[in-house]
Amino acid sequence: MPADSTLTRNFCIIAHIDHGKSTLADRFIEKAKLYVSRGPAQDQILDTMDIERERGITIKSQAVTIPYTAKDGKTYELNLVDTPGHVDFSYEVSRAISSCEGALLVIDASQGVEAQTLANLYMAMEHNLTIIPVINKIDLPSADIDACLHQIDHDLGLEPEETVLVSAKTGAGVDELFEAIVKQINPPEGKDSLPLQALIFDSHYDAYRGVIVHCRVFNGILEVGSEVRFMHTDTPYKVEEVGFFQLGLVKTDALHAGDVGYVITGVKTISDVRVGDTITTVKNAAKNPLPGFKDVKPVVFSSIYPVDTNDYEELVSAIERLKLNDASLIYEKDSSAALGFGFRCGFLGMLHLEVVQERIEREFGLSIVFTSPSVKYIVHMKNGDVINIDNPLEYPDPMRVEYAEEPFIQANIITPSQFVGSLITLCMEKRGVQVGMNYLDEKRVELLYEMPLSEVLFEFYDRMKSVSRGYASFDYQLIGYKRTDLVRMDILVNGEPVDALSQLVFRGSSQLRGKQVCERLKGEIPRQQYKIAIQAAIGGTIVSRETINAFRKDVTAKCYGGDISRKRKLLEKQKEGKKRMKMVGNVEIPQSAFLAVLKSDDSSK
Amino acid sequence: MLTLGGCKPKSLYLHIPFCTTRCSYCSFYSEPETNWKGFREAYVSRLEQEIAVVVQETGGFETIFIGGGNPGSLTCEQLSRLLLAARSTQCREVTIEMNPDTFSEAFFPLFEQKLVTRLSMGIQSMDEEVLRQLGRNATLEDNLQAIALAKKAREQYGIDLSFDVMAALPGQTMQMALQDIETVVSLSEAGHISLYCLTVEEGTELARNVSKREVQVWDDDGQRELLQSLWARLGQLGYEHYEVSNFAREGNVCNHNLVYWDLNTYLGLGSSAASFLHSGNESWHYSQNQDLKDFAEGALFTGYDKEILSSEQLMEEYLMMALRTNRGIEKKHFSDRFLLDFDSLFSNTIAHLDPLWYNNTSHLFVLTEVGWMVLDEIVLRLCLQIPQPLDRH
Ligand SMILES: Nc1nc2c(ncn2[C@@H]2O[C@H](COP(=O)(O)OP(=O)(O)OP(=O)(O)O)[C@@H](O)[C@H]2O)c(=O)[nH]1
Ligand code: SF4
Ligand SMILES: [Mg+2]
Repeated sequence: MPADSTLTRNFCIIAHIDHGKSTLADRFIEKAKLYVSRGPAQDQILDTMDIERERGITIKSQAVTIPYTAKDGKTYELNLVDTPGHVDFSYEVSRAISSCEGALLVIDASQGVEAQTLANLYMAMEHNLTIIPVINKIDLPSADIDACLHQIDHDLGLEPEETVLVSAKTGAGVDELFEAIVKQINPPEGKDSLPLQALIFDSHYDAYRGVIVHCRVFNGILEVGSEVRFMHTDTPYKVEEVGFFQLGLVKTDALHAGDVGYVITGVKTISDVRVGDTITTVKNAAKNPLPGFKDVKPVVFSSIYPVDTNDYEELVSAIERLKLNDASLIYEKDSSAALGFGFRCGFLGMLHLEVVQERIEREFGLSIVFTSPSVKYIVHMKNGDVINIDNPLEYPDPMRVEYAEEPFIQANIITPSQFVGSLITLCMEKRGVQVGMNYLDEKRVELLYEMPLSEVLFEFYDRMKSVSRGYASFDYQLIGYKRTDLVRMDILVNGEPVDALSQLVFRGSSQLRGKQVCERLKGEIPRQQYKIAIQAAIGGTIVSRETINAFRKDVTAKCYGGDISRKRKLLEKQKEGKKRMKMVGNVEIPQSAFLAVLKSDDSSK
Repeated sequence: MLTLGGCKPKSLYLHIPFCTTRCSYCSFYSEPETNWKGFREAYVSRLEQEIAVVVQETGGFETIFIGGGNPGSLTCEQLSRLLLAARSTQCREVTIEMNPDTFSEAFFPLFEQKLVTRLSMGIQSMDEEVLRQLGRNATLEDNLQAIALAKKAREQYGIDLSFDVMAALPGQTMQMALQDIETVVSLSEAGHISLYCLTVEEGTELARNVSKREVQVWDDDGQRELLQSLWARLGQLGYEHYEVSNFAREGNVCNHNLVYWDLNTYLGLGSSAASFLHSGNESWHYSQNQDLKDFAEGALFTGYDKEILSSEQLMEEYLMMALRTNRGIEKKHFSDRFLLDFDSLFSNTIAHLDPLWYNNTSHLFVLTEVGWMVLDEIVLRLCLQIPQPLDRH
């Protein structure tokens, strides 16, 4: 790696979801021959988590350092950050942007500019990054390069002439893109001679090596053996190892100004490490920390409980470790009558919630359940008190409530014009109020709606995709609180309220919602020894009811010598399933039932 | 490679994976005639040699069962060779399965020479349309003739008879199912009846048809009601309901199958056959992994996969099997076998079960017919109480 920072380029790849960022990163890595020794590579090699591979989306930003010998004969160090495209993870993009001088703004040639293309572009412009527009997937028959160039000019206000055309699939145009990066993106400005300032932009926990901190050195040198301190928490540590990210960690002696890499310091207390903090040396310390990152604001709240109450301690350590690698996760202790001890958590969206659940289960081998998610309401009491509530259980006695407010967002939806009608219907159903409608060009329309956040969080995205056959895209910003008519709905299983399933709902939708929840629970809770009644209640009134009959027949007809082994293996699987059931009173509720209730409506699917 | 490792299994099972064509619900290992044409003799010959070796080692078996597939796909001569190889003085029960369409007097020498003592015939249904739906080769006429022939064999040679009947079949009504039982019992006066509720097994033609909604099967509630009636009727007809799907008149239980349900040792030879062996502190299964061609061409005792059981797995298998019979679990036997007290392990779980499901005395835990209806659930709940790992040393 060059010690000369004029040969370093730090850039991120940003785009709307699925426009091909990770696949483009594959081509860079491949050209740099980083995995020659590893044999044939998988696609989207930077999507290392199982859940990313299964869902085919990026969830975490990933940094990787690539050597590149340019046409000018010099070898550059390219620090590339692949970012996620999904709205829930825009915090990942914002952090990547803070540690780069340039961004490749990737646009799918068959889709054109979409909502996150704009949102991410604005974010990059706020940080004064050099932006290289890249039109990807030019190999597709449906690619419409002219339309994209027009949008780049017209919608994005970027130079169409500077656009690079590539196919991340075939590799076409990637060489030109390398050259553009080297020529157009500035080298980092920092100096080795200044006091050390390294920005912590991520971290993760390694079972063998402990906490691994990911950082970008802005000034100074981060050297093995030196004494450093994390400026916000003010704890001194000795640097045990530093290195670069390739496909794995590659050790080196020191990270210089402009470098992106990792540092291991033998941190014992996980909470000492904070994403956004600055590392400096104990001697010749920097005067000020770097600006760090904007605080993340969770929008959905839900509590996590271990299925087996004995697993609480393990959940504590799982959450701490997960937090290292997911700075956007916010949590505090919580407890429930039905579920025991757990954590109240804040998430950036429903996908974020699902990802946290899956990561806790997979990475830490714990079975957990979530309580019904909620947004944060403001409740004005008759006595003049104003309280914030994100947990349905804390909702006060309605008699004492003057009125409540719920968070609203402005949604920007970009869609081909033929879907405008069905999208308007959908937005109205979600209590949306239209505040604007612009024709971006002959074929594309931008719809602006004000809607309650709670309506957007749950399945709005899926519904929008399905009514627009995948073509509409959306982005949203919180715009503040508005008055609403709120009720608390309780779910009773065999007459017993299950606190984890209580939820706050808009009065106008409560009837329908109660019916949906009962139906879903009926679909998820298996027949048991006794008949089970499932009811939704508002105040003392039952608004919906379903019955699950007792199981009637469950017996293997034939079981002889040849069947025993197979049958036992089946039994072992069923045992695992049973262990994932949560006993509520004398009813076994499978984990999937808690999840099913999270999803709101599927009425029109 | 199969070795007995010092175990002298009580019983022998021989698998004959040959059928004429495949029935729509079938999930056993068997192949249609076109696939086994040239391999039959080689298959029999390897089986015969393997039998000879193990009989040498064990001195013989108490019970033998030739199943399939359809053992009637072999010639009488081939079957004789297998049974002659397996014959020993300690043998007290030899069962052979036969499909009605291939059964004939050509097999009578087996009975005459006392090589076979028990005949088990797969009747399945007495309705022409249902038989066709199931893809059986036998017609109603074949079934009637086979019953008559079986009776003749019983009269001439004193063999025992058992008939397999299926229930909850597509297109069947409760009335039809009851009538099937009535007909089979009155025509045959069989000492033993196996009554199986149709199971839609994954990967079968039936499963595909059901998922395409071309065939409609009975729901759980219907099956329960149907079984209740059929079980009651068999009781009235003088049969003891001694296992979930098996009914016997006085002295007619199938001793071979009891070995499975008691989780006693048995050896299974032939493609897909399974064994359970025990010696010293170790229990293990073998399962044969070769298809019939590979078996026919393979070296002796190759293709048997060994799976050693932990004490916990062993206990699971025991609960799974023992609760299927009306002998249930003898608590003394349980603690002798597993060195753990049945009540301390399970009384808590049992207390939460519906009392109609079981009888629980100081020395016995046994399920009732009502309990059998939900046997799998009961076994699952008991198994969740098995401490793991059980091996304490
Ligand atoms: N035909 C074609 N397909 C491509 C190209 N680039 C990416 N794809 C496909 O587009 C899909 C999405 O690619 P990804 O690289 O995962 O997209 P991404 O932008 O990283 O997606 P997120 O990380 O979830 O935002 C995959 O199925 C890729 O195989 C391309 O140049 N041509
Ligand atoms: S006769 Fe028996 S083994 Fe053969 S195909 Fe039919 S069900 Fe399967
Ligand atoms: Mg990606």
